[in-house]
Amino acid sequence: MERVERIIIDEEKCIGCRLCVKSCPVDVLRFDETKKKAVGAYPQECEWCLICEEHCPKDCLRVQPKIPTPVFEFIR
Amino acid sequence: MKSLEALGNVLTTDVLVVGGGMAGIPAAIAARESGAEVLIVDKAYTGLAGQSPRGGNGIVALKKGADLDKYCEYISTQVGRYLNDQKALRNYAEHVYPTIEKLDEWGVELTKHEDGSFGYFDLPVGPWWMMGINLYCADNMRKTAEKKGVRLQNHVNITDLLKENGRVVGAVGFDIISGDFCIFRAKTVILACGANNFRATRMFTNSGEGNSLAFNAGAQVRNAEFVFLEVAAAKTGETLHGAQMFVFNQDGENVWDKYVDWPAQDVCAEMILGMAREYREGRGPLYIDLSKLSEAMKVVAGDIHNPIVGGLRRQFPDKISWVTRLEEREKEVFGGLGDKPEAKFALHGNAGFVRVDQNFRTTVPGLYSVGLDTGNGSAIFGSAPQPAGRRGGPFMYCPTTGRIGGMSAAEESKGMDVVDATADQVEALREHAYASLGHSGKIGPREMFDRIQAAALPLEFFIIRSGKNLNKAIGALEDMRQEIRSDLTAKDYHELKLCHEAETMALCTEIVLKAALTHTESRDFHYREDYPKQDNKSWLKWVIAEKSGDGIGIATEDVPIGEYPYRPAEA
Ligand SMILES: Cc1cc2nc3c(=O)[nH]c(=O)nc-3n(C[C@H](O)[C@H](O)[C@H](O)COP(=O)(O)OP(=O)(O)OC[C@H]3O[C@@H](n4cnc5c(N)ncnc54)[C@H](O)[C@@H]3O)c2cc1C
Ligand code: SF4
Ligand code: SF4
Repeated sequence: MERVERIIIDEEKCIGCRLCVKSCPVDVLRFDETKKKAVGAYPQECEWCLICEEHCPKDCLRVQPKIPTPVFEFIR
Repeated sequence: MKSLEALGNVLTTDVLVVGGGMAGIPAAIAARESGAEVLIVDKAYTGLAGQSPRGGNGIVALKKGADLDKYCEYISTQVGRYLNDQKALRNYAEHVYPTIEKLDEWGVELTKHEDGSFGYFDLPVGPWWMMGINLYCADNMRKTAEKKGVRLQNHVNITDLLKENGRVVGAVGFDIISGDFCIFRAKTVILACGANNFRATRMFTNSGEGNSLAFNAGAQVRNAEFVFLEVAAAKTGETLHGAQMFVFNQDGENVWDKYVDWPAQDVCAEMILGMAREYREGRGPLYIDLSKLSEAMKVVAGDIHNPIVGGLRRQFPDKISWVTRLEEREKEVFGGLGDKPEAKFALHGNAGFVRVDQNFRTTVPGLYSVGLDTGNGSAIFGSAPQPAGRRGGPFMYCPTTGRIGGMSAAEESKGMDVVDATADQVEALREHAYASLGHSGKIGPREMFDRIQAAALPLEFFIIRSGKNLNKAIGALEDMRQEIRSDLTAKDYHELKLCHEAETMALCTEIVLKAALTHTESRDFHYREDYPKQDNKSWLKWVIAEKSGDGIGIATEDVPIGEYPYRPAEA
């Protein structure tokens, strides 16, 4: 059940502080050790809680939700 | 004999806490303050992972000197419907206010008056109050824990517990980034993994590894049949605090008023069953009329930009900033919820059924569990499928139970030696940890989640149950069990983590449904079409599950109601 369209990280602005990586509860964001930048490695697991954005000091990370967010359908 | 060091990275501590969230961190600090060496291991990052940094509203609190008799009576007779462990409930209630003082001391921000005294909000129903709490409350406590000398091991997913002579002596897992195998030796282990959310509702991400780690180590689970469902906005998949009382059908009838016939304080089984009926009988889609939120609810959940009714959020810049960001994104992407968003059910989960006593000891020596992992299993709130049966309850339950469990585990660890598990056992568990990496690629974890959900999560298995439909879902899950063992495939360590989550979700779901099949009456969120009445004569019983060979053994146990102060007329 994918809940986001995409995760955009502006590599120009990213200072590689890893705060976003540390604030993600579900291991969506990883750190590229060669480029020293954050990457949206596993967007399939993203819940668009936006806590990573809240932690980014450069405001260079954006999560684009999929709307309507898939809700597990209980009524048959 | 092989040394453990040859098998993986070894770390040793007195008390090992698995899960650094709203329960695990207080457990760790309490154990540390009692003199133990403490290590927290989390598969993400302690403090910012788990549910608490997404917790929207408030914390249900008891004031100093609150009438605990009244509280325990309401919780036993109304909320828990007599399936409470009433002694554990009393012990819990006595620990609530001291925990609020501890949270304050440990750096959590709570609503306060100008003179520094705690600020409480009145609630329309129930002998309790609400307090506001800051968004990064767990991370504030993480800092305190580190200052006090608690060690942290982040991004390690625990996959099994170690046992020796019937006692838990540690745990094993793998680093989700490097893939390294990690072995933890400990005198006592506390599970605080935040229960199972079936991956159904947005932001409720926990998959229930506290349940499965305990179960696989031979611990009993209890009250698993009760699972919480919620009212959610269809567009965002997010639950809306207070909205349950303003859900309307297409004839303009208020669904809460139509079906909820007792002094309920939050979404209850009658409301969800009522909503289901409205949809079945063609009066949907249901909608929430946000303009009707009562004055009382405005105080609690009100507009954060209004200084008078800013309610539970108004004192916390972290929460205001986050909520504003969410609202702006909603507006940008789809124009916001509007005044009348469509209402659906959401399976909220928070199913944590590890059986613990009032000191949060499981039935296996050396193993403790706290927080949501024990929300059902402690039986403190009886049949209520989430602590206190209302939002705000979990936030109070987690640190309070964490503190009690942390102190007990530290006490037990005193004067003990660390015992090594055998290398053979560690090797076998290492194989289990990496098994999905070696499979042939037939099915990935995301597909597995979808299949578990499709087979076992529709409404009829979770709230409109019958022997017939439960057997069907159980059959499907039993068939999946072998597939998970032989075909579930991970492409990398991230997916390996997902594979363990899928295995856990399948096990937890099977336990829930088997407990539900055994429980032949209706009570609270456990509703059986074939046994629609609550039966206090035959069913003051707990359904207990335990590992039996390769499967799940189920039994029932009488609630010792004769020893308790609150009893139904029939008992
Ligand atoms: C959107 C939202 C809103 C909420 N609003 C409220 C509210 O207003 N009031 C209220 O009372 N409650 C609320 N809650 C619930 C509350 O946040 C939780 O009850 C509480 O945080 C649970 O604490 P916990 O420690 O049991 O679990 P968590 O805080 O979830 O912590 C569990 C930790 O265990 C780790 N973990 C899990 N499995 C493993 C493993 N195998 N190995 C290593 N680590 C592992 C996880 O990474 C996580 O960090 C809300 C929850 C959400 C998601
Ligand atoms: S929005 Fe939440 S889940 Fe998604 S990447 Fe950011 S922190 Fe992770
Ligand atoms: S928080 Fe922002 S600046 Fe820091 S690593 Fe992440 S994207 Fe880059």
